[in-house]
Amino acid sequence: MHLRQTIAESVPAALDPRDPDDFAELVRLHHRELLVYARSLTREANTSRDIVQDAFVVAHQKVNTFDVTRDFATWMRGIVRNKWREWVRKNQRYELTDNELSGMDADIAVWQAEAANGSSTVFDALEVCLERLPDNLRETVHAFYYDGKSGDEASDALGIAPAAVRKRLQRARTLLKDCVDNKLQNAQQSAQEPQ
Amino acid sequence: MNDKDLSPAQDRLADALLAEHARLGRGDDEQLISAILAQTVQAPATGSASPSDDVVLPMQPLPQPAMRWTDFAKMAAVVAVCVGACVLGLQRFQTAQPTMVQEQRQEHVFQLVVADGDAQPAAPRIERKVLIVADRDAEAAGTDIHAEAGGAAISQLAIAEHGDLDMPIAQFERSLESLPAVADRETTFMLASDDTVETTDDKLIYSGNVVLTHAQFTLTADSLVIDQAAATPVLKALNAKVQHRDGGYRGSAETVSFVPSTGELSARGVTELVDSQQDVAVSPIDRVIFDGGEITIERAFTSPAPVTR
Repeated sequence: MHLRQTIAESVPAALDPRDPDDFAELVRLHHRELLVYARSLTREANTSRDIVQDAFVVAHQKVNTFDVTRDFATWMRGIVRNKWREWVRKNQRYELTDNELSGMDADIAVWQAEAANGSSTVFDALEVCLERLPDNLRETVHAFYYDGKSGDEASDALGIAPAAVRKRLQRARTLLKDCVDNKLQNAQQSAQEPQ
Repeated sequence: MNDKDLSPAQDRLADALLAEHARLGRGDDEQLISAILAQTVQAPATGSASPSDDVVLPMQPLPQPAMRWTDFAKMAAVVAVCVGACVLGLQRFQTAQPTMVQEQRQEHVFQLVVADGDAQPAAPRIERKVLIVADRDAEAAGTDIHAEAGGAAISQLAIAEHGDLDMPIAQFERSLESLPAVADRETTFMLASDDTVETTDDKLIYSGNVVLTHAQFTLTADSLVIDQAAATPVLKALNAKVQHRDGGYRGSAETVSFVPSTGELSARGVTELVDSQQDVAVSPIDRVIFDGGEITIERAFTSPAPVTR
């Protein structure tokens, strides 16, 4: 259940990655969505930062070979994926299937496009969607993700079984993903409508 | 919002999104941006200067390569190991003669038994029974330097060859099968190491090629500490590898803890975890519990104060 990338060109024409100032701006524009991408691939916070950092360094080294008519965000996701594959090979980790990868890639593409267009980011949408979660799911999400509690600690704090915590988190992620997808899709549609 | 289940990949994406939002909110990762810019657009030029550029510049500090996140972790690990080594060395120095377990003997094989503790039913204790003490200087292979039966059903163990622990471990595993009750097997295990120190604060420290053999698993580690004074003794192994027989999985971790009285085996700082089918993705900050044939992962997330754009 992922969104299709409907905006092919996600870099404002004014930003040229070969220009140092523009490159710095592109780093700022894209790093967080790429962090989410790398984190979902590796499931490791520190490794995902290393991968994103390395990806931007590689992009900068090869910036003169970059075709400016292409999409910078797409190019960066490709470098992140290559870096992740290197890491998978080196660490003998589980590799995702092409279908799983393309699904994740399409979602991140939409998120990057939103950020690059200067409209609301995926994090803005997430905050709105968090507020719409049912209370029991929201308090479980906060205990686990935002208060940093383990499953057992969240279970103790909320007075429910650990299995119920896992179920609630899974349900909350499903609802949040759906809500975020809808919000961003609506934002895209309204941006494409003639004024 | 509808409620149909996400695919595993989409669930990973939602999980990563929440974890990243919990980490920094809507804000930028300024540390990461600085590190990237320092290595890219702000990096000092490496090309050779032309003669016309030959101007005298004031002295400047040498550029420092940008640190990677895992470099910080490695530095922390090196510092921790150095501090640990200093502490261990200090303890050995302070506790030299009275508490060292016969310094000239380098390889020890012990049997530890968790007794019911009739006198203190609430606090099971570990009994250490020396089965074999093999002297590194002993030249004759298969020589028993010292042997003491730890229980009627446990056969005597012998170091078959100088420095070779495979034989006594195999013998120990066979001797476990001869024990009458499963409970006895579960609470009996063997520890072997190059060196052993008993400190004044009632800690037993095993170091160098530590091997813990239990009915369900084998653990190898650089060092292992038992706090004998604790109400519930815990064996804490550093830089350890676990091979679980029943579960068919193996793993490596910075610390592995074993509670003999409950049989709980858990790990933190897991660097590798492989079950019979495939590699299991675990973050170093997660806690992994090896529960018989199953693995439970307690995920942990950090949540510093959000930074807003």
